This record gives sequence, structure tokens and C-alpha cells, in this order.
Amino acid sequence: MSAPTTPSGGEAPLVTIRDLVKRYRQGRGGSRAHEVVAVDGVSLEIRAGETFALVGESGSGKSTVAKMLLRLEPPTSGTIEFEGRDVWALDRAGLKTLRRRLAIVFQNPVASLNRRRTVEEIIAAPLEIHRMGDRGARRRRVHELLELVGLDTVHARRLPSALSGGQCQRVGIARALALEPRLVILDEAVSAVDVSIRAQILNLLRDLQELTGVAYLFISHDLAVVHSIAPRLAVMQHGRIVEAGTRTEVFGRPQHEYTRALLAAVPEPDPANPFPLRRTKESA
Amino acid sequence: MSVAVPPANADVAVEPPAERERFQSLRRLLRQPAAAVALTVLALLVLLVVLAPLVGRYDPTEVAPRDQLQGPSAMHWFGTDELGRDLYSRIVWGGRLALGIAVAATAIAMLLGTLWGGIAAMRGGLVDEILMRIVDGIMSIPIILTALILVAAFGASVTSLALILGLLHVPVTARMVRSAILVERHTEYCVAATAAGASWWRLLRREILPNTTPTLLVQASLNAASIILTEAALSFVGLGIQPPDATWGTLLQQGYAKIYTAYWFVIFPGLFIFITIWALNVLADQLQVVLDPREAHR
Amino acid sequence: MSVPLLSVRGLSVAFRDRRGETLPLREVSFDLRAGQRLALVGESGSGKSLTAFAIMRLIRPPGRIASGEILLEGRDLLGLSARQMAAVRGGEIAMIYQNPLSAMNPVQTIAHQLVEAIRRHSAVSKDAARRRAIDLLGEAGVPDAASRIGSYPHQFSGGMLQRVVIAMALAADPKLLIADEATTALDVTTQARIVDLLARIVDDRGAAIMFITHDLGVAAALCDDVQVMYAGRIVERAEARRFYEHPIHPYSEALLEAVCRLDAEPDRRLTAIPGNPPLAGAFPSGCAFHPRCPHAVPICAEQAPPRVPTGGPGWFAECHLGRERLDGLTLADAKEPLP
Repeated sequence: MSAPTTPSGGEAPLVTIRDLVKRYRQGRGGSRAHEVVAVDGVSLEIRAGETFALVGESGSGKSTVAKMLLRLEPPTSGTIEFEGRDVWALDRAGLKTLRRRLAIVFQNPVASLNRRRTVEEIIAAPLEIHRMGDRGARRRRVHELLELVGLDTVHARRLPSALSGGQCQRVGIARALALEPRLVILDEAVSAVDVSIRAQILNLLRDLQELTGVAYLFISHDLAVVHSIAPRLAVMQHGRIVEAGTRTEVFGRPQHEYTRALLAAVPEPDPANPFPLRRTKESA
Repeated sequence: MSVAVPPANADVAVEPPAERERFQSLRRLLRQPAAAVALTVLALLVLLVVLAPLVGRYDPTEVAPRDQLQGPSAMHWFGTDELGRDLYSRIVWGGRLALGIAVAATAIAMLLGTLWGGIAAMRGGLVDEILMRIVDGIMSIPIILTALILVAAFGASVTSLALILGLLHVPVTARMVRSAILVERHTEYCVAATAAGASWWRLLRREILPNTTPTLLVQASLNAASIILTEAALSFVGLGIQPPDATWGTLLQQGYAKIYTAYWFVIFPGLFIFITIWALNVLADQLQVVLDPREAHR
Repeated sequence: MSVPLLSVRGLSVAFRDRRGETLPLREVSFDLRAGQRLALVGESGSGKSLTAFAIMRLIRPPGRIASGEILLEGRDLLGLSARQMAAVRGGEIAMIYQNPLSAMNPVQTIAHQLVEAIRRHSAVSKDAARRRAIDLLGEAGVPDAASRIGSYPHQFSGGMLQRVVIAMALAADPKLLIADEATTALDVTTQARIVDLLARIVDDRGAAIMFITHDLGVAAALCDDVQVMYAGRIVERAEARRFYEHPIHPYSEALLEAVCRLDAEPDRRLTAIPGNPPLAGAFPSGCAFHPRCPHAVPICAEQAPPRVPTGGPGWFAECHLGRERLDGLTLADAKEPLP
């Protein structure tokens, strides 16, 4: 069940995660400390250019997987390979490459932008870090990226506080795309924006993928959104992948009880039948 | 209902560009009456001591035995001391020393304290542990005591006073800065920068420090106040600036000896110390209010 | 018809900032019957939370209620003294917030806070209040209430804590519950359970609920009337079934189309609303939605739209094209008369 759905075709996957485990020691001091298992034997593969969704509720461990993939937190055991190289065994040059090819967009569009820097400075930061081009070239690239995510170049001189939530999220996406990554992790990236803006952002993400061939790891608790954007997905609960497969498989014939519960909880805009996938009243 | 309706494309016209928004906190600060008064007082004091050669009226070291211990008059606004020196001139020139030392020492404290606290917060682990234990150690001894010992050992020149007082305020600054940085460190924008490959040094310099300016400014005001007080205390016990130069603390001590015969001699130096400390503390308070982002987005 | 439970008339809220005065809420009027379940739907900045805060008289400077009446069973809340208003809050009207943790005092036990809430509005002994608190927790679906009542807020999960907050809101047997994005921060499965709980509670008690949300899906699950806000105005109100089947206002229609649906065909472009919601102080002229509206005609930018009745009690849409859109609908459904 928890085995990864293997990609078809001979091409090596972009990301291969095997038996990933993360345990946290909670509370200081020896005797009273106890361990919390945040991620418990997760394996999955992400192919170049695809959208793979990791579904689960808060505390399911999905964001911890992302952090370990980004090399922000070391795993307790297991391996993560990005472009065939072990993320946690990279040398300096390898790490630099990883930082260029892997980016993240967060849930809270406002908190993920430094409130004291202008939009231009925010988007140019990754370019500066990797010493790409001179000032002029970076400015041109920032304008190009702003246009790409549907913002006006007048926004470049603004502070995030002068932008709406949706616009902030576009800035976050522009920053993530600045270094032309191969994979962008979207950690609940559309969960905090308004419904009308959510559709815009999802369309934008789709367009950008078509244009640049970037792959997405789409982390979300919202199955309706996942259904719309991700052809393959895995469902996480208590640190384990309880179900994985293609969209047709998981949504059409959910095998695990938890997947069915998640599906049943999705409210549809239909007052006659707001929870169409709920089987009985008592199951709620 | 008469409400001006902006044009449909008001988006561009209404929103201020970043440059203007950056000075918003200063404007908000000046709108607080207490802060405006404190800033004005400080500005006047600075102006007074900077322009000492022009507004000093008399040579502060010029002895005039016939004029000794005269009360305030048109000729000697704040009266004279026991050697007939003009007290107003001595306070102006003394302020030049006192504030000069305060500015230099505050700069040293802020620079090293930010570095110290910054490295501790960003490196974490053992580095943090060691740096902060040193801070705890130094802070467990009262500043005035350490200052006395160091001044006794190294002398009381302007330079050594500034250095000693500055260094002694590094630990308290480091502790404040460290906790302010730890708050910012795990925010999403910092994680995003790390994920883009930013080094801890860049993260500190470019992302975090701009966001801790409020804390830094508040700490700087508090440091300055504490430094002026400590320096005055050192001078009061005779370990500060040596005659014929004098700071406010020296004047206070000399006046204290004559408290029953020449009230002005102790009142005026004391008043200047009091006003300066008051203004700095009010400024720190008001900065905290205005620069708190929760207050900013009322 | 009898006096409605809540009647809001011409309510405007003004905020003063350095650019002058803005009106983020502009002459809002609506009624709520006893026992009615009303959804207040809109994007951030549309004024939906502001409406709730104005009803509770919780607008603080630099904001103020500029004009209007808020009648609770015929009594104008704006005319009450601060003390009388304090009795209404948590008494006849109770509010449930988005973040349950910030609604509770972190250093006091659940028991202490619940007992206090109960005794604030009725003169009962501490023991009686404690027994009632346990009953309320049970009603709100907190399992093992008698033993968990001594816990502190941080010892509960988000969903469980929201149940505690709901129990607290029920302390004084309110006639109106205002839920401000009360399920938005919760996990989906928890959200579904809380929605069920709220539906059951208002049914059992005959209380009315004003459910503020930006999620039309959740609104459908709970409410029998929907009221859509945009740029500080109510732009449409209708009974839920009718609203979801035939929204009259183009904004309502666009909002419904933008919802991701499980039964929609995947990998398709979603119908998005172009542009961004306007900010208070920069509301467009005429109909505020016209810059984003696919059906806009020149008059939309020039004149404020009329309130077009749409066939039911209190139903309306504020749209220049409202009548035509309504007629088109009536023609299309000629064989099947409107509900």
C-alpha cells in the first residue's frame, strides 16, 4: 500500500524518497523526554515536470517531509535523492546546486515576505545569493519575473504591506522561480488566499509549469484543490503514507478509511447535498 | 453622505511607494506628543554641546576669584563655582564631554552587542551556550562596580571611559538582540532565504537585522541613558574626567560639597542629567510603541 | 410579519487615517429572523467581519460607526450604555472567532472561564455553574467533559478547543451566534464535524446563526440563506438553494465558479475572477465590482446599482443588469417555476 507509485518510462525520477523517518525528542532532560515520530517511513517519487500532491491534515508530517527535502532539517533515517544525489550527503558545490534547483512557496503570503524589503529586493535576493548577473541584469530579471506572475513592474518598488494577499503570493512565486528551479514545493500555497484569488493562482501555477517545465510538490489538506491540480498524490496520516496513486485511483476508488474520511469532509457548494461523499450521517 | 470616490484605477495613485512608507514610523513617532518633546529636548541638548564654542559664553576653565559662588544673574545665567568659573559654560562644555562619551560608548555597545547576540542566535548550539554564559557572568556583577575597577586600572581619559562604558553595555545589548533575532529566525521569510541558499551571515545582515531595528533603537536609547548615569556616578566619586575638565557628574559632585551655600551649583548639573535621562527613557518607551508592528497596523 | 431578531439599517463604518476618512462598510441593511441560519460570504476586505464587529459594537478608534441602526428585537444596540452593551455581548449575542486559542485565557482552566461566563449572565451558585459548564461541554461534543474541565486551553487540540469556545458561547443561551471564520483554521475533517455541531446546536436551541466565511462550500453545508458582500456592501441575498443554483449578481456567479469541485473535470483552467478585491478608500465608482465584472456596461462605472428584488422575502441583488439577468433566468426556467 505505502509503496510509491513508480513512474512509467525509463527516465530517472527527480526526487526519490526512501523510508524517511523523523523523530523529535520532546522536552529537555533525559528521564522525562519522550520521542515524537513526525515522519514514519515515507517513500515516494516525483518525476521531472509533474505535479505530485502530498495530502494530509495538520500534524500528519507532510511539511516535515518538505523541510527534510529542502535540507533544512536532518532526517533520523532514510534517504532523499534529488536528481540522483543524496541531499544529505552533498558537498558545498552540490548544496549550492540544490539551493538553486529547489524552491519553496509558503502558506502565509504575507509572513513569507520580509516586511522591510521592497518587492524587487525580495525577488532579487536569490539572484544576489547566487551572484547571477550585475545589478542591471538582476533588475531586468525581476521585471521579467513580475510579468511572468502577472504583476505590474510598478509593484517592484512597493513594500509587501502595500500589496493584497494574492499579490504577495505572486511575489512569493516569482521569488521561487527566480533561479529557474526544477522543483518548487508549494506548502499549502493557496490555502490562505481568498477563493477568487485561489483560482487565479492555480491557473498561474499551471501556466508556469507549461512554460518552464518545473515540477511541483503540492502540499495541501484541501482535496478539491488537489483533485484539480495533481495527477498523482499520496495521503499522509500520523507520519505515514496511507494511500498513494493516481488521481483516478485515489479519488475514484479510495482504499483507506482515512482517505474516505477526508473526501467525505470536502464541502461542495450545493445546499441540497453539501457532503456528497459522506455515506451516513453517523460517520461524521 | 459625501465621500470622495477615487478613480477606478486609483490603485497606483493611492498606494505610497516604499520610500515614503519607510519614514512612516518616524512620522508616527513625531505625532506622539511625549516623543516629540523628548526628541526636541535631545536635539536641543545636542545642538547646545555641538555649538559649545559659539554658545558657551565664557571660557569654562577661566578662573575669576572675585566672582566666586555667585548666584544666577544676567551675567552668569547659572551662577559661578567656587573658583568663579561660569557654571553655564562649564555645563555646556561638560555636556560636550558627557554626551560625547555617551555617543561613542553607545556605538561601541550596539556594534559589539549586536554582533555578539547575532552570532549567538544564528549559530545556536554550543556557540550560543558559551557566548550567553559569558554574558550571564558579566551581568551578574553590577556595572558600576566593574566600571570602578576598570577605570581605576586604566585611567579616566575620555577614550578609556568611552571604551569601558561601551564594553560594559555589550552583554545587556547582546541578550536583547539575541532574543529579538530568535523571534525572527524561524519566520517563513527567513526559511525562504535559507532555502534559496543564503548564508547565516547574509540572513542576519540582510533579512533579520532590518526587522529588529525597533529593538535596536530602543536598546540604544536605554544604553545611552545608562551610560550617562554611570559616567556621572563615576565622576561623582571622583574617578571620572579629571580637572580642570569636568562632566556633569564632576560638577554635581563639586556642587554637592557646597549644597548649603550655593544651591545652583548642584541644581543645574543635576537638572541637565535628569532631563537627558528622562528624554532618552521617554524616547525608548515611545519607540517601542510606535515601532511595534501590532501598533502599526491598528 | 413579526419583528425580526436582528435588523441592521443603513449601517456605515468609517475609519480615519492620514489620507482622510474611508468607509469600509457602506449603508448595510439586512434582517435576521429568529432561528435563521445566514451565511455572510465575501473576500477579505469585503466588510463581512466588520459587520459582525459593528453589531457587537467592537469597532475601536480610529474606526467608528458612522451611521445606522442595529435593532436587536426592536431595541437599538447603538443607543445602549456601555454596561448594557456588555450584557448583550456573550448574553443575547455570542461570538465564535477564527482562532480559538486567542479567544481563551491561557493561564486559567476551562472550568474557571466557563463558570465565569455562566455566572456573568445568570445568578447561580458556583457548583450549579460548574454542572452547567459540564453539560455545555457535552453538548458541544467535548468527550469526557467532567474530567477534562479542569484542563488548560493549550491541553486541547484546535478542533476540541473550538468546541470549548462554542460551549462558552452557549453559556448565556444566546439568541444569535456570530461565527467569524470559525472553521477556517481547522482541518477539513474537523471543520466538517464543527459545521455539523453548529447546525445541530442552532436547531436544538432555536438560535439564529450568522456564519461568516469566504468558503461557499462550508456555507452551503450550514446555512439556509446566503448574503454576499463586496466592497463594504451587501450585493446579493437569497435563499441558499436558489442562490447556489441561480446567482443573480455577476460577482456571486464568479465566486461560485471559482470554487474547486471534486466533480469538476481536473487539469482544466479554473474560472477565476480577474484582478484583486478593492481596498477600502479605493473602492471603484458606481458598482464597485465593475472593473472585474465580465458583463459590465458603461453605466456600471457611473451610477451606484439599484437594489433589484429577486423574488423572495428579503431577496435582492444590487446590479444594473439585475433585472435582465433575473428575466433571463425566469425565461429559461419557464417550465419550472421559481421556488
